[in-house]
Amino acid sequence: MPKQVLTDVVVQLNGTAISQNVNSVELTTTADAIETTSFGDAGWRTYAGGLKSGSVTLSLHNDYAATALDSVIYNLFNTVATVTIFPAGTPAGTSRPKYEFAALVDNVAPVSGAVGDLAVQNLTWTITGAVTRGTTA
Amino acid sequence: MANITELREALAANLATIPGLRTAATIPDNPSPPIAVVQLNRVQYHQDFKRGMTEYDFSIQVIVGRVDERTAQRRLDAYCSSDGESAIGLAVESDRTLGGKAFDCIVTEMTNYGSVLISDVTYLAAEFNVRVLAN
Repeated sequence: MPKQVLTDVVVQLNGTAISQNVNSVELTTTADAIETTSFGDAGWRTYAGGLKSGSVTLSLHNDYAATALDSVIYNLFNTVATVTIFPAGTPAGTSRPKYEFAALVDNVAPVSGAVGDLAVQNLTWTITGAVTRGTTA
Repeated sequence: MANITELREALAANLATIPGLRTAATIPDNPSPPIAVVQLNRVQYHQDFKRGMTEYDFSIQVIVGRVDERTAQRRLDAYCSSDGESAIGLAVESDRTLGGKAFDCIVTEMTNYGSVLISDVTYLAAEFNVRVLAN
């Protein structure tokens, strides 16, 4: 599809799909811009890519049932979890990439909302190590 | 996937726990008051990935006869109260999973308290908005 509406994104946490409780996901990677400007650059700054880093932001609809989302997330607090995201669904393929990485679960929000609100968790985790893009299942 | 007809019927079943209140899971041509009519207003799909959740907004119109205006208003007031055996909110939320057909439901507000004209007859009515979360 030349353009795509996100409906069937699969999000896995340590291999377990949590997609049906995920309302929004954003994977961001950045690289440090290391300045290399020198005399002779005609007055323009120049840069080279430096260290890379990333983060993942998840908006989750909480489920407090036994072994459901809340207990899964809470038990991962302060640990490193493997996150796999399939933006176009599974299985991964040439037009259905997957992004895989380890994330430090450095914050959880077991309770968030006012009276009458849907129970949600909006979390941003720091990625530790590389983000890989794969096209094979 | 939740079946809308089943959600309607489950809401009507919860409402039927109110003594003396008739219920209709579908819109009747000639309602016989006092009656609570379940209507579907809006469906919001794709609230989670992989069709994990759909949000249904129902309205429940409660209609009472207006033969005696004061009696009619007192009866409707009881339906609108947040407590008591006639409270619509308590009845709807008496089984928030709607018999296991929904994740959750909540009565969010009451609006449009006033007269309504149905088949040339004036009744007193109020509408209750119900948010149902299901898949």
